[in-house]
Amino acid sequence: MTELPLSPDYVVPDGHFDEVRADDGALRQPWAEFAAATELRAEYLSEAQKRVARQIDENGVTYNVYATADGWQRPWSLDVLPLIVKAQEWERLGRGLRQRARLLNAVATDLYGPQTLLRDGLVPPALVFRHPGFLRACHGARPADGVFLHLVAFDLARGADGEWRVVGTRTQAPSGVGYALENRAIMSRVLPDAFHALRVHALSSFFRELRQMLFAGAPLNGGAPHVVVLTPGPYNETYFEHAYLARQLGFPLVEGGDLTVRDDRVYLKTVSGLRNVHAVLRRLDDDYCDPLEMRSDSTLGIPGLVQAWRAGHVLVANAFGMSVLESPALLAFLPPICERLFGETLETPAIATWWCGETAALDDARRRLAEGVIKPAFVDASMEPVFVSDLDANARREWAERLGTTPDAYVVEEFLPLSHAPVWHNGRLESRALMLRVFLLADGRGDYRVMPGGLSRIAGEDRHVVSGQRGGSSKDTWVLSDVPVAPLAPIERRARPRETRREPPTSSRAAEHLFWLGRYAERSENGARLLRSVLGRLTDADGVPAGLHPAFLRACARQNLLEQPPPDSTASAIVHDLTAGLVDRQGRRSLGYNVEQTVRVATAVRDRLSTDNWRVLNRLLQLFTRESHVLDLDDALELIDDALFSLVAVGGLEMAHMTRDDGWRFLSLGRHLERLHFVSSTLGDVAPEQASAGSGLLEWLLELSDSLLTYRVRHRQHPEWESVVDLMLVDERNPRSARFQLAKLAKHVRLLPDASLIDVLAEVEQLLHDCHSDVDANQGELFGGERRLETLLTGCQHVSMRLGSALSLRYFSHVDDVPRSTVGA
Amino acid sequence: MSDGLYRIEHETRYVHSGGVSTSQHVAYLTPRTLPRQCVRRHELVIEPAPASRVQRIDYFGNAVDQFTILTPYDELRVVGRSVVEVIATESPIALDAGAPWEAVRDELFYQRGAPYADASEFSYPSPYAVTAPELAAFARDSFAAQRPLVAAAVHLMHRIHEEFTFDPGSTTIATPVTRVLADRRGVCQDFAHLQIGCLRSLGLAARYVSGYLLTEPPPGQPRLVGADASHAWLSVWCPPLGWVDLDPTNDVLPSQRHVTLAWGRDYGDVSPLRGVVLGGRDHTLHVGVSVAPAAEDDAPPAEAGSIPPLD
Repeated sequence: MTELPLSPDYVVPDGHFDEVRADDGALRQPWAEFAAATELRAEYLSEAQKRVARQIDENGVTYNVYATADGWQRPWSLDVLPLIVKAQEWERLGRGLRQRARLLNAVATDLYGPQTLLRDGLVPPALVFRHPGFLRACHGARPADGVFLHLVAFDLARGADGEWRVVGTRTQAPSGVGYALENRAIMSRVLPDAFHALRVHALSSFFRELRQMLFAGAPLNGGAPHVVVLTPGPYNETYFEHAYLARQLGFPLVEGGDLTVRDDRVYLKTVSGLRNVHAVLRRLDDDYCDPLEMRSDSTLGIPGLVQAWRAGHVLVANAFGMSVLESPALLAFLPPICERLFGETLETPAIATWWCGETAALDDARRRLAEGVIKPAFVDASMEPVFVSDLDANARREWAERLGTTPDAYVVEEFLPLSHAPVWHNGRLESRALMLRVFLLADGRGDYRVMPGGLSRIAGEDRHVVSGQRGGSSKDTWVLSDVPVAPLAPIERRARPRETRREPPTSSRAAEHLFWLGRYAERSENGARLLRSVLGRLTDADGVPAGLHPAFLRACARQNLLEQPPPDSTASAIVHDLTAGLVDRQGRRSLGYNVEQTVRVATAVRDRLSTDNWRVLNRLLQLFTRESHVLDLDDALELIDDALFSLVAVGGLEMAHMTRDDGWRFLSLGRHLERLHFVSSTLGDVAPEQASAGSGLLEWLLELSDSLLTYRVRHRQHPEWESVVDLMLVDERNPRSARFQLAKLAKHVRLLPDASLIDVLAEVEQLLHDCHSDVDANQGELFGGERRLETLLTGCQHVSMRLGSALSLRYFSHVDDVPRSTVGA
Repeated sequence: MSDGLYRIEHETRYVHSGGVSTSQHVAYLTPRTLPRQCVRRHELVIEPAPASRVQRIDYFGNAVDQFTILTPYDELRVVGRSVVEVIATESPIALDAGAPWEAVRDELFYQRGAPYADASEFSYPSPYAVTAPELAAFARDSFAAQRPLVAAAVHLMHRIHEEFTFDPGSTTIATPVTRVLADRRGVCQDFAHLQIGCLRSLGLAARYVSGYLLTEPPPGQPRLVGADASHAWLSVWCPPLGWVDLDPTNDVLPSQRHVTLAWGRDYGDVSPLRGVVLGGRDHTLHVGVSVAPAAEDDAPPAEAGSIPPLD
C-alpha cells in the first residue's frame, strides 16, 4: 500500500502546509516510504491506536490538569501516526537551533554579568528590568559549571512555505522530554516495521548525556556527585515526567521539604542523616525555589538554595533567572545580537515579532494588527494570545488603545498558519494543526546537542492553539537518518574518578511513603482475603448464615470493612453492607479506600517503582473505578479475586525485582509490621471461642492467612486449634506466621541506618525468643495455657504499634507536621 | 546647615508563642556609604547566635547580611548599631534647575542602538510600586508641560503631604498604592511607593530608599514623623543633578537629618529583616529605632568608603 487512508474530510485549509501531501496531491517522500513499509488500512490503524491507548494506560502516562474535578490525573494522549522529518531538513534545523541555544546562553551570561547588550542598546532595558523573571538576587553569580542553560526547548511551527520557525523558547525548566521518550517507547512497539524500515534516529542516548552533563558539571573535588531531581510534587501537571526522568537517570526524586541548606551547602534529608547534594535538576519554577529570596509565600522551596548556588556549591540546571529569555519580545532582537556576539547570521528564523515598546515597531505592529496576534511581553498567566481577526470592531479599538498606553507590555506577532497533519480520530484520519518542541542539551564544551526527535503536539478543536492543557494530543517525531542508525558518541567528560557503585540515598520522605506503601498494600491484601472468606461463607447453603460467627464480624470491623453489625443482623444484610462500600474510594470503610491509599503513596515514590510494578498498581486502581457503587455478590467476589491477583503481584514484584536498599527495607518493614498485626489480631479474635467453634472457624483462619494448603499437606486432617496456632504463630517456615514477621522485623531493624532503635529491637527479639522457647518446652501442650497465648498475641500487637511510631519518629521527615512561615519587619 | 554624627540603634525582636527549631534570615541593616554619608562603625548583634552568617553586596550596592540559626528559640533579637556621619548639602537645590520632565522621560525611552541610562531600571513598575492610569492622572496636576522635573516632583511631594493623612494601622505592606491613592491615607512606605508609582506612570525613574530619621530634632526644629521606626522615602532621577531625594511623609528634601540604609525598586528589595522560620506558631514583632547625636570620640573615623569589618 502506498497511500494513507485519509478520510474525505482530510482537508488542509488554504495557506497551511500539508505535512503528508505535496501540492500535486502525491504523498511526500518520507510518507510514501512510511506507507510502503507498514499496513495502513483503517482497521489496522484503529487496532494500533487501541494498542497505543492500552500502553499509555498500563504505563500510567498522565498529564495532570488542575482544572479537572474528577480525579487529578488525565491519561496522556498519543496519536498513532508519527511526524516524519527528513535527515537533511533536520540537519539544517538542528544546526540553527544549536546556534540559537548558544546565543541564548551567551545572552544570559551577559544579562547576569556585564550587561553590555543593554548598554549598547541591543536589548531594550524594559525586556530585562520589567520582566519578573530577571532575578536581581542572581546577578553577578557565575554557575559552578559556567553554563546557564543546560536544557533548552524550542517550539517550532512550519509556515505555509514549509520552513520551520521558532515560535517559543523554554529556558527555565522545559517540560516534555519524558513524554517524548515515552512516546518513542510506545511507537517503536506499535509500528515496529515502519520504524525499522525508515531508519529512525534513536533517542536512547539522551539520558546518558543528561546524566554525564550533570556529573561533569557538579562542583566537588573527587568522588561521585550526588544529584537529585527536584519536583513540586504529585499535583504538578507533569509529575509523571519528573518521576520518569528520576527513574531513568537513577537520581532520587525530591520535593523542597527533602532538602535543607546549611553553610551554603545543599543537603538531602535521608534516613541515614544529611547527605551533601552537588547538583539539582529542577522542575520547580524560580519563584518557588527559595522562599527567602524569591516568593516568600512558597512552601515548595528550600530557604537558602539561591545563596548556596551563588556560592558555587551546587549546580542548578537550569540556572535561576532564565525565564527572562522566554519573553516573545526577545525574538525580535536576537538577529542583531547574534551578529554582534558571534559575527554570524541567525540561521533559523523566528516568527515575525514586533515589541510595541519600540516606537518604530509599534507603528509597524499597528499597521499589521488586523492580521496579527497580541501576546504579553512579560509573564502574564491570565492573558491568552489575542487573535485580532477574531475580534469585533470595538474590541479591536480597545486593543489599539491599550497598545498605545502600555506599549512595553505587549508584542504583536504575525499570524502564522500552522502546518497540518493527519491524526486518527473517530475511526478516520482527520487534519489537525501541529507544532514541534525540540530539546537541546549543553555538551559541556560550549555547544549543544539536539535530541534527534521531539514532542509533536497537535491542536484540539481550536484551530490556533496547541497546548497540553487545552485538549489536543501528541505525536512521536521520527527523524530519519541517511546512514544506518548508530548510537551517538558520548559527551566528553571532565577528568573524574570512575563512578563507584553504591546505594542511592533514600530521602526521609521516600522512606515514609515506602513504609506506608508496604502497609497499605498488605492491608488491602488482608482486607481482600477477609472479605472473600466471609462473603463466601455467608452465602453458603441458600443464604443461610452457615458460618456466621461473631469472630468474622469482629475481624471485618477491625479491618475497617464493616461497622460492628447489630447481633440480630441477617446474613443478607451483612452481605449487603460488605459489598456496598467495596468500591467506594472516598469512604474509609472500604477495600477501595485502602487500594486508593496504596496507589496514592506509590505515586509519591513513583521514581522507585518499575514500569511493571506501576502497571499492576494501575490495573488495581482501575478495578475500583466504577460508575456505580452497587455490586451484586458475583461481581463483588470477582472484583475481590481480581484485586487479590494484582495485590499478590505487587508483593511478588517487591520481593523479586526491587533493589535491597534502605528504601526497600522500609517498604518491607511496613509489610511485615502490618502482617504481624493482622495475624496476631485475627488469632486473638478466634482464641476465646476456639473451644466452642468447629473446624469451620479454624479453616477460615487458615484461609485468611493463605495457610490452608500448607496445613492440609502437613496434617491431612481437619484443623485442630493447637496445630493451627503452631502454624500461624510459631512456625518459622510459614511466611505468614507471627514469628516469621518478628524475625524479618528484627533483621531489618538491625540493619537500619544508625541502628538506633535498640529498645524496640530488644522487645522484638524478646518476643521472638518467647515464641521459640515456648514451642520447644511445651511440645504437645500449648504455651503453658491460654493466658500465655494471650500475652504473646498482645505482645505482637503492641510491638507492631511501638515499632511503627519509633520508625516514624526517628526516620521520617514530618515535613507536613512543622509549619513553616515567613516573617518580615 | 551643619553636618551630623549619629549613633543609631535599630532593634528587632520576634517573640514566638511556640519554639522555633531553625530559621534563616536576610537583613538590610547596614547603612550605605555615600558621598555625603560616612559609616564610622557598624555591628549587627544576633541572639541566639547564628550557626552561619555571610555578608555580601547586593545588585543595588546595598550590604546584605544572611544568617541561619540552628539553636531552638522562642525569641529572636537582631540589633543593628551604627555610627554614621552625614554631611549636609552645600546649598539648597534650585527647583527650577535641570531639564523639563518630558526631556528626561524621553531619554529613558528605548531607542534601538541609542545610549542607555542606568536609571531606566527604576522607571518600570515593580511589585510594590506599580504604574496605573489613575496614578498618572494624579501626578499630571504637578507635571505641567515643560516644567522642570525637580520643581514638578517637589510639587507632587507637597500635594501628597497636604492631601494624605499619616495613619498607622490604615494600611499593611500588602495594601496596593492605588488603594492608598483612593483612601488618601497611609504611612511613610505607602507615600514613598505612591510617589514612585506616580513618577513611573509618567515614564520617569524613581527608587525607594530605606533609612532613619534623627529621633529628637535639633533645638527649634519640629520632630519629624516616622522618627521612632525605620523610615522610607524616595529618590527621583533628575539629570544633570542626578538622584534627588524626596520625603513626602515630611514634605522635605532630605539633608543632614536622614540616614540612608539601602535602596531598591521598592520595599520588597530592601525590607530591613525577613526570614523563614520552622515552627514558632504565632509571633509578635517589636521594633525600636533610636537615632541620637553622637560625640566625636564615640567614633573613630573610618577610611573613606569602607565599612569596618564585622566582629
